[in-house]
Amino acid sequence: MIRTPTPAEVRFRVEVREWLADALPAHLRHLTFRPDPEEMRPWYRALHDRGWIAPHWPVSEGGMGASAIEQVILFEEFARAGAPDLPTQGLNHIGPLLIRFGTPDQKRRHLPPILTGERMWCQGYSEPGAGSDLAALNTRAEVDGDSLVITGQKTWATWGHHAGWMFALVRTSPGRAKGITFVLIDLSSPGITRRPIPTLAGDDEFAEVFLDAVRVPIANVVGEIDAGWSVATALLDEERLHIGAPLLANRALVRLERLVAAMPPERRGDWASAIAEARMDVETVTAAYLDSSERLAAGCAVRNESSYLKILATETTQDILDRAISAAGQLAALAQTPVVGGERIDVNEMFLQSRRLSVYGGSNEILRALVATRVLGLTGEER
Amino acid sequence: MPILSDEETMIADTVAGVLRSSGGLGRVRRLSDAGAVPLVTIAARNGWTGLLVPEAQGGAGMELRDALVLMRTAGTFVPPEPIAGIIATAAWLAETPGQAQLLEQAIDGTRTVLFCRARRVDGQLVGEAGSGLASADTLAFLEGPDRMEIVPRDDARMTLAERHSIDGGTLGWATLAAPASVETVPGAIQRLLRRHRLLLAAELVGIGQEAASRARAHISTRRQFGRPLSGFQVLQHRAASVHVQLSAADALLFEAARGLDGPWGDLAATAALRQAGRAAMLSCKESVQFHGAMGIAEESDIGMFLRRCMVILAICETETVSPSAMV
Repeated sequence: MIRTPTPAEVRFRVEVREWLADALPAHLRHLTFRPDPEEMRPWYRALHDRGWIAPHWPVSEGGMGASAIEQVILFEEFARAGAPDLPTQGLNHIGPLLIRFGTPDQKRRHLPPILTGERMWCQGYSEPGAGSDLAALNTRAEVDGDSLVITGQKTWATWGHHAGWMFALVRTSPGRAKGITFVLIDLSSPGITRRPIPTLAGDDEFAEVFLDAVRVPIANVVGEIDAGWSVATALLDEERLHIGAPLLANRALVRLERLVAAMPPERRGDWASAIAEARMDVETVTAAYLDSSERLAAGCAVRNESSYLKILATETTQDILDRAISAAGQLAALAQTPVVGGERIDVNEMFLQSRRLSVYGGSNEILRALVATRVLGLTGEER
Repeated sequence: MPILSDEETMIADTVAGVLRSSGGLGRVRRLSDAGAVPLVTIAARNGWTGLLVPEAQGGAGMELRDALVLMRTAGTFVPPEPIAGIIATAAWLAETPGQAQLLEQAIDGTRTVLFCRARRVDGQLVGEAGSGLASADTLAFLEGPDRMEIVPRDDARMTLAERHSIDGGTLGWATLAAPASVETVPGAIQRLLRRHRLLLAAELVGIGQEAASRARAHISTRRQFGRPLSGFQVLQHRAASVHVQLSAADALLFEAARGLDGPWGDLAATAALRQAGRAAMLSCKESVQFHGAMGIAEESDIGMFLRRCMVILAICETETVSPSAMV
């Protein structure tokens, strides 16, 4: 961050750094993929107990109510310490959606376990035939008494095979967006099968979820039946702000720095300007994030304007990792991550993992089309 | 897209009004015509030169943000004159002891004072190229981090070579024989350079934004294959990509202003200039392309944006991104 911090912000940064040095276990540092739930839970719980698990949630809902600057400080310090990537479906998606649209009962049941980490969520949106064109989704939900009976298939669900619950978009009426319902599904219900999807990076973060006549109480619908599309899209701007946050870009920078630091001394100078440029690129993402946050908070953000942030943050992260694999040279071909001086030095893991950043959360192509048509007014219509 | 105050919006509107009534882009095309009032004089008359000079010293006493808004607006008219230089130099004069009279003359436009970074070579001070340097009648040679000498143009020790630059203006190189540089106020040169870098970044953002705006207007009206070009996805996406870089540059520009006097000031100024240059260059190249063959014709104004952008970046290349600038 380049703006001059206030004394309180300086103190906060020191506090975060010192707590991380103490509380973050060595075996969870500088990993690339999310640890399994069993390994993740103690760390998630420790963050919860410290009060830092949900910086962006209001204090009244159990969050930190952190300012945008404090959030950036957290991102930077967490990246520097190599803190693991947390599952975000609860914290960044269904949590805020329930805060906005949930019934008191839904909030009471679901928000606390998101904060403690006892309940992990996955997102059931995409289907084999409905990715970017999500409104074409097909998973059927029939009303039967006080239940919905759901049959269909969801795919690319992050942590679908680890999660306890899924928030899903299902079709209750024919048509496109107008016949979609937003519903919460307990994944221990009968009729559910899950299958992890191995990725090119060697992880299996995503899963397919098959639903075969799964009964879900209508009380689990968020909003009204057939009105789920507006629930799912209501917080898109805030969600893009999260994906556009400088957390990943900071982590990529740390990867590059660690890689260069692990090189023989005579090689390091060659990469000094690559690091300087990566640092400036991260500051660019940070500045854009702070600007967008300020505009959203002040109420002058134009709808969809934060889409640009997701494009910027993901492509900056990918570019930094491009530089990292260049720096790694032949080592970038290795399947086994080298260990240098007791430290795992990633030479290609995060690069391979980063290819999905431009695909999920709204592909960068879709977002460019959105920016062009909705923000810049380039529609091909007569002027 | 930083939120501007009413006062800042007014500055933008006023600056645009002055540049429009001075002839806009047409003025830049006709610069070689005799009788044109120099823009640096117009700038002084409108209070731009003394914008960052404290009121107690005869300036407008405004904030860095105001100067950024001014330069960003100015950039949209692609003037080749060194407005950033005269503003930054005046602010530096204000913190340099013994320069009250020169400062007053700079502010009211009777003198044009520009700084010029120089190295000592064989007993001479050899200056870096400066855009519009030859419009100065007084040069402030800056040697190293803490020495300077202010020299009137007609000083026998000075030679000032001038060449036309592609933006309709000139580049100047100055040399000072038998220099007698003195110590500056500590940190003053660093402050000047950081500020100047940021003002240039603002100018670049304005250039890029205006080029992109014109390109969007063009593709929204130009029809081929039975419809406006703006309906074609390739152009929509490329316009969006330009918007991403320009929006980031705009955000970083104002963020850098917040940190310019802090511990990360050099990083702030360098990062802002780098991103502004990258975004402006992309915008200018894409904007020429979006205009098709018309963009290649000199008759079209769009090429002026590319050429002015190139000049600013060319003179900035002497301030290379070096790791030592990163604290």
